[in-house]
Amino acid sequence: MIELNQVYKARGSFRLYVEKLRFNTGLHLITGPNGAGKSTLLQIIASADVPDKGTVSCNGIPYQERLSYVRGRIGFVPGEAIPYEDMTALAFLSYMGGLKGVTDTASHLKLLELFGLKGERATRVNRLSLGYQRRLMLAQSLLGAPDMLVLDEPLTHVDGPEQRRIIALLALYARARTVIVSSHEPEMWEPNQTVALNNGSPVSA
Amino acid sequence: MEKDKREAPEQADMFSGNEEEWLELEREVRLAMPPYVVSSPLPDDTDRLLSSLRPSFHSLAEKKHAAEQHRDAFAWLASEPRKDPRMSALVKLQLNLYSHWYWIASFALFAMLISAVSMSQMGTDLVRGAFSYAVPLFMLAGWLYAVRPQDEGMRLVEAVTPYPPALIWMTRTVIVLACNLLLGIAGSIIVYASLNELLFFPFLLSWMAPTVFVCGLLTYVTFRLGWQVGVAASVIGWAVWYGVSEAMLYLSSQPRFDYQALADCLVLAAGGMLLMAAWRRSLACAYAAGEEVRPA
Repeated sequence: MIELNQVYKARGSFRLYVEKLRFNTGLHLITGPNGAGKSTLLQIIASADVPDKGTVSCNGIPYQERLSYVRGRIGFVPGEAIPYEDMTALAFLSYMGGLKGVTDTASHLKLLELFGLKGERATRVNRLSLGYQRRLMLAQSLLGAPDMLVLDEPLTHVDGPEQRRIIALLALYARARTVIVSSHEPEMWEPNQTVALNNGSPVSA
Repeated sequence: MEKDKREAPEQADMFSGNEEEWLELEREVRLAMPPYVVSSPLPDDTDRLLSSLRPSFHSLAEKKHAAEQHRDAFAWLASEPRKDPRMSALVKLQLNLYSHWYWIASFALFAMLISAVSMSQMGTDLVRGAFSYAVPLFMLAGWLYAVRPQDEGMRLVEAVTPYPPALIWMTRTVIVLACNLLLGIAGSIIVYASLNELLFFPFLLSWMAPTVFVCGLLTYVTFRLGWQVGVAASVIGWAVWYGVSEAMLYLSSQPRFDYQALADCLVLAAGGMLLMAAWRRSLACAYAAGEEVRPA
């Protein structure tokens, strides 16, 4: 369970403020117009950024107390991220797996298969389409089956049929874990909780 | 209380009947209610019962297993024990990040530098100057390639791992510095062998000092103010060193003292201290874009 308490973050003229927000096991959707603060909120939840004020805790443990431990239990995909272009798909997963302490090549291959990338295991990232690059980025977030998945616009560049497959896969994953996604297309998802953001704060959804 | 005392002898009379009467009563009950008298189960009966229930047990177990599988279809991903973060593992991972083109380009640049210096019959001052300007430049270019500071997306992804984000940058920086120092030392040996009048250690110091200083300044400022400011500070630091170095070279032409060597020693020490400070800072498991450590 992730809990945010009086979280405040200023970026230039933009202000994010969340009085109280809780994410239990299940699929959670964060929606809102551009500039509403979705990416900032997700980065804070994923521990990639620090709030100016307030606390974020995981199962009651504030992030700053056991940051390394918490980070080992989060899978994160930012909004605009491309895997290292001169690596092959499998080398990239091995690299990220190494950083996360998950070094079993068999599980890397299974993840590639899960995201329809098994045939591209030896293909360099810069030769993959944007959709495939996105899938590879999603695959790395599942390394070690983290307790929490934080995905910023996970379906960007992914084509229609594969979008539905990934949504089903994430819904299945959310049965036992916490999955938080942001999306411009909320109608595609069937979340357990929806948080609508506007001007940096949640509004009743 | 008195009433209880009166009733007690009456109840004793009622249950103090003849034992034969009791046995007769039991026989009558047995005859009247045979279907309700339960005989002890035999082992065969127990086996039959268990056999009849076994399919139901199997079915229940399968349903439970299926429910667990359905609940967590990704349990197979979590089965592998995670390895704890280790410095040696991080260095190995970061070494894998460099493409072979990086190593080829590094070798080629140093080969060109050595060839240019050896073949042009430069004087010792010019040789020292060529190395002291080229090696820091190679280091800076290598840093921009290897650390990839402009790749914010991957920086965020790498930040959400058990390793401190700044330590990942620090490791890449040290690899780049080590690569340039090793190639520089190899080049120095080759140049020293071909130019007899060159003093080896002052020559080594002349390019090593600005290289370590520029690297230390770059890393230290990057971890405090971001990589753009870090690059700007290192370039300015390099320019300042250039001016100071020229002045020291002029003073060293006076016969009293080798000011150039003194300046190199001081700059090398300053660079080393900046690197140590940056290293200590990088060990803090801080945020990727937070206030404590800012690798971007």
